[in-house]
Amino acid sequence: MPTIVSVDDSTVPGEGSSRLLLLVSSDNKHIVVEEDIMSRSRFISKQVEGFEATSQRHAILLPFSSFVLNKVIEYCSHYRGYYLLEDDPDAAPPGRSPVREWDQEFLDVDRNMLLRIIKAAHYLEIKSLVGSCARAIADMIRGKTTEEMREILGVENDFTPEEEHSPSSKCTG
Amino acid sequence: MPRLPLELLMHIVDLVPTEDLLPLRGVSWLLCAIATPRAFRVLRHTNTLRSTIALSHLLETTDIRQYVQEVHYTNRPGLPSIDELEQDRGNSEVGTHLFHALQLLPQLPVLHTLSLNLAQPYNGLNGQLGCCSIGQLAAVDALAQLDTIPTLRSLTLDNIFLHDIYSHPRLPNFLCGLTHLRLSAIDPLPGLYSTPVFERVGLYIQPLLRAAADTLVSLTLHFQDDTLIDLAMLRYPHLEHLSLQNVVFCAETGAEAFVLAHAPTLVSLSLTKCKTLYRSPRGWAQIYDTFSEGLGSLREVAVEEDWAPCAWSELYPLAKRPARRVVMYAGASVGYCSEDEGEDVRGLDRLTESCRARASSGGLHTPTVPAWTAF
Repeated sequence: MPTIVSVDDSTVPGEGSSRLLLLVSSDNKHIVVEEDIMSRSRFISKQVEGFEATSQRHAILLPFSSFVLNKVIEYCSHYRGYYLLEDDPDAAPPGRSPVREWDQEFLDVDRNMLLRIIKAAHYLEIKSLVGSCARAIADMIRGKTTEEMREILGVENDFTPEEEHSPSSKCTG
Repeated sequence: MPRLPLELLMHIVDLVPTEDLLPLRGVSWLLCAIATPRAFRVLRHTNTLRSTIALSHLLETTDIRQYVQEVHYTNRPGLPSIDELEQDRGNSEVGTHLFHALQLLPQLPVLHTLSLNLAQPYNGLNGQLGCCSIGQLAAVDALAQLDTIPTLRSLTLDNIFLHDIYSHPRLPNFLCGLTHLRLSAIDPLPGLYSTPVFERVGLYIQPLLRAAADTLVSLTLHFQDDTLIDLAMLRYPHLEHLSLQNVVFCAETGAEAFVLAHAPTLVSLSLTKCKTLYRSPRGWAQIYDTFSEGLGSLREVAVEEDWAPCAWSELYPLAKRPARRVVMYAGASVGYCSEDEGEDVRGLDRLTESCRARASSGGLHTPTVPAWTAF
């Protein structure tokens, strides 16, 4: 569960069609963003519904850094007003989303950052961004050795030396 | 380095190509557990009893079948030995297991490709149908009992033998909604049937061709021998890739009009061993020129002609050239080549050149799916 703190109404204006939200990152940076932009996040949408139920505006504390949060906001701003199948599967007949070339450029970051972005997108429930990150990571894995895959995914080897040298012992059964 | 939660690892592994799953299994126990069932995305089995039983068992396994995207069931290589024929006699187990496996297809939530290379039937000992025929009967029987599988996009039925089993009224239901269809038909036992081959083509193949009319993007229709099949009434509004083999271009088949009717969408055309009727006023030169002018979206054309040298080719020079014309008699055909077919060759050159020019200039039409591949 996110931590929610009360904020002064003067800090976050709540009137009009483009209301603002205050997002607080783990490094305690306050970022004001239009609610429309973040509506792609199901997590944020649910928080906003909660505000409306209680008639109180709050800041939303998020467990990742402002650097990552700004990347997510950049993504959401780029696709503001766009229909993306992953985020709204009920709005259109099933089919494949268009290939988004912009995403490839946007996600051309080091693998550490990529993992942080996908975790943030997962937390915020932005399925389209999760999908794009997952595709980018899967592309990184393509054609790599087991050791390189470990590095990319940040996973430790928990096989015993015997298991590691005996492929048939892995996951048989 | 951030650690990813299980759901994200599963999502990523879903997108890793099948060939990379083996090294991925060596990363850690968790990745091994995630990657192992996904390694069964593509199942390739042959029509041996052992392989068919394995297919059946795999599709029964819940952890595996949720990842199966493609099932390919093919003929084992080579002709059956006498021992195998003896084994096959009365061995209906292959059919039983294949029937059971195919009945499980609706329980595969992401299945998009099914390819059945239905082996050519052969007579078993004592005149019984052999194992391969049992497999073909079982496959058709199973498919006819299934309704449309919503995720299925590509279906291949190779070596269909023109037999009453294909007249099952429910079989076409299975083809509804497909985007890629490949049918190849053989007439394995000439003389066995009283009805000529082209009548059986009409009876058994045409209902299948009509079933997927609204959705089909790629159609491959191959016959073993020169065939008259009425294509005149068939229309596919989204057809982009068409491949015909041994289809005779004449008034009876309406093949030329059929191709031209798909001019707005047709991007690639492959004609293998197709012929016109002997002494028909409409030869290949005229047909190619009509295609050059009429098929405005065509980017690729491939023509392979029937070149079959015969015993007297040393004496008869024309026998060394491809047969582009044919005489049909009660379903049987005799190929011919004329004295001068230079104009046909030049017509094909003009068609190829017009496609090349269109392809190099870009053009407006962008195919929605690649040819002959599903996803």
